[in-house]
Amino acid sequence: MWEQIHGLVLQASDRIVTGIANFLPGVLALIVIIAITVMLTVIVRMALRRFLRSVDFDGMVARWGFPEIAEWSPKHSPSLMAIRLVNWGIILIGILMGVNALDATLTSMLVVRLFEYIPHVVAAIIVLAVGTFAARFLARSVLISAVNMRIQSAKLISLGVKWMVMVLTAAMALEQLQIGGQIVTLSFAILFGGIVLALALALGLGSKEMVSRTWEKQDQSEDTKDEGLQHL
Amino acid sequence: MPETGILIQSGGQTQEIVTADILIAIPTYNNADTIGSLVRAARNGVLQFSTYKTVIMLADGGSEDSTLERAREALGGWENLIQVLYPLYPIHRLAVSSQAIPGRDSAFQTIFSTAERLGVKACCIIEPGIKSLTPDWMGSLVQPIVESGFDFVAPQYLRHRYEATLINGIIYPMVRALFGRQIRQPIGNDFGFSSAFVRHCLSENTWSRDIERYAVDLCTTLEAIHGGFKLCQALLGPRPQFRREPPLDLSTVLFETAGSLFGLVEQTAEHWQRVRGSEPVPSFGLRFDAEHENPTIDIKPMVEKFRLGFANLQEIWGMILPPATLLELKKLSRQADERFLFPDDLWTRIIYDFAVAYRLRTIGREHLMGALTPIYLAWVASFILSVREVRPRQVPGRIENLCKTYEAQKPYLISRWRWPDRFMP
Repeated sequence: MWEQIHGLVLQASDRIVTGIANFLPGVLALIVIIAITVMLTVIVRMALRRFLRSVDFDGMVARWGFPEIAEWSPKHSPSLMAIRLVNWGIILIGILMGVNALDATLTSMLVVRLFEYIPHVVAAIIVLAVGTFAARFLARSVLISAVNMRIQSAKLISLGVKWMVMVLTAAMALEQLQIGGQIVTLSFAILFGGIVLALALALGLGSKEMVSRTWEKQDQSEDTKDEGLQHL
Repeated sequence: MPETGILIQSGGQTQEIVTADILIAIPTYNNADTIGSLVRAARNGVLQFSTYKTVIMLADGGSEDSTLERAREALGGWENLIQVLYPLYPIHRLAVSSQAIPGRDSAFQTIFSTAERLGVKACCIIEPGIKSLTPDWMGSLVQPIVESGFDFVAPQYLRHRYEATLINGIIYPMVRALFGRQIRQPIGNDFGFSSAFVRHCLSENTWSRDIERYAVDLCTTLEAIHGGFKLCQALLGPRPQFRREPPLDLSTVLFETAGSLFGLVEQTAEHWQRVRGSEPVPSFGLRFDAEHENPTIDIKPMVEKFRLGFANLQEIWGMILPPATLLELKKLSRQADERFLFPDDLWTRIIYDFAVAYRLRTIGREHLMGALTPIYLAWVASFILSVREVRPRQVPGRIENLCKTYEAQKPYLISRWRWPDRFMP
């Protein structure tokens, strides 16, 4: 009986040792791959930083009309964000290669899932970019028009328009990323409906007289603004 | 040559008029209420050119009212009438514009084509939307061409000191400083052209279609300067216009006029950077007495709009104007209404900064001109205050000073044009 127990223990030990012996090269390969990845990341970061600085990437982003990218993270310039994005991409690829060295089956499943998800990420990025641009354009249009109509709360209205579009954009992007499912749609519908209802109630009941006075004042100022003046 | 439509003589005959010496063209579109007096004045004006074969042309955009019938009635059997249909595209019909007729560029093109086909020596364009005009106008616009050999006759209207502020504050000084010719009314409604200039315009169509659509008059003026043609001005007296109801949004007017000028400045950068100083342009026509009425203008709403703009548009202005200019605007916004004074050099630099921003597309071009509106109104308020108490004959001196400032500040524009980032942090 003791011999049987001894044999089983030895077999188990053999399996474990064999398993560890089989696993160790993979771990070593993972460590080497991660080390190479980190080195590559440092090199790419330096090269990319130099390149983006030489082409004035921050200025280009501002000229393309996406200064809001910087606004999302005020301490970081768009070029720094681009460098980080590339770095994390390299690190992700390195980790996938390392995991592949450990277990090929697991990695191929991960890669398949990842590639299936990429179109959603691309769609979300496009939605975010278009939404940001639209929010900025509409906010600026509203601000300039409101100032030229002598509306005192021009900035507030412009900010309201901007955030309405941004919230709509965020909801659409999250839907593309399949995060939150119906909750996002429902939350957005409730939030949007709530805002509209609140505004309607505020205008219809609470601020009826104030709105009326504002419009009267506005109307009077429109009547008198260019009296007798021909610009051309 | 584009299709110019049918040629019909008065009385319904379809026989074409083959040649003419002088063409008086009236572009129309639904102008039934004003066309009668305009055509009668043109008919009487033609009598001044008894030795020349003169043709009156109605270039119509497809009026749906009785414009053409009334014009024919007013002419009362006059033989040398041409009626031509100029093409009006959906873009013309949809555009909200400050112009008297839609598709003005298309009307000009049709008139030029007809003038060339008839082989005229001189062609003048009189636009509708005017309450009254005298027959002398035709003589003032045509005589310098047929008798003195000029190629381009620009109009010079008698305006009240508070009128044409956009022309006085931006268009005239900037055209003068950049292109070196003192044409008082680079944009207008009535012009005279020689056959050589008409041929040149038909063969050298280099302007952007968008700019031409909004400011074909400015394009032809700059073409005359650019092409080295012999220029002069015709003193036409007052041009009492019908006020547009409802009045057009000021930002739209700025976009169409100042925006078009900025666009043309962009297209002609190589030319104007070589021009130094400015030369006067000879003037013909009758001398008129200065203004008689003295309307009261309340500048307070204009200054208030500027202050509101300063409070809300600083972020946008900061993308267009250097910090030092913003600081000066800040000081300006704190001035009392009755002592509101916009310095000429500040105003000039701001206009040049906006021209640079227009070229660089720092922000959308309609937004850009919208952002200029409160600053422009501040300048108008300051201008009104500065000329309110002076005698009529002193007002041109005030505009002359502004023009000299534009000329003096031209190196600033050239620097900013060549090195746009130098002045911005």
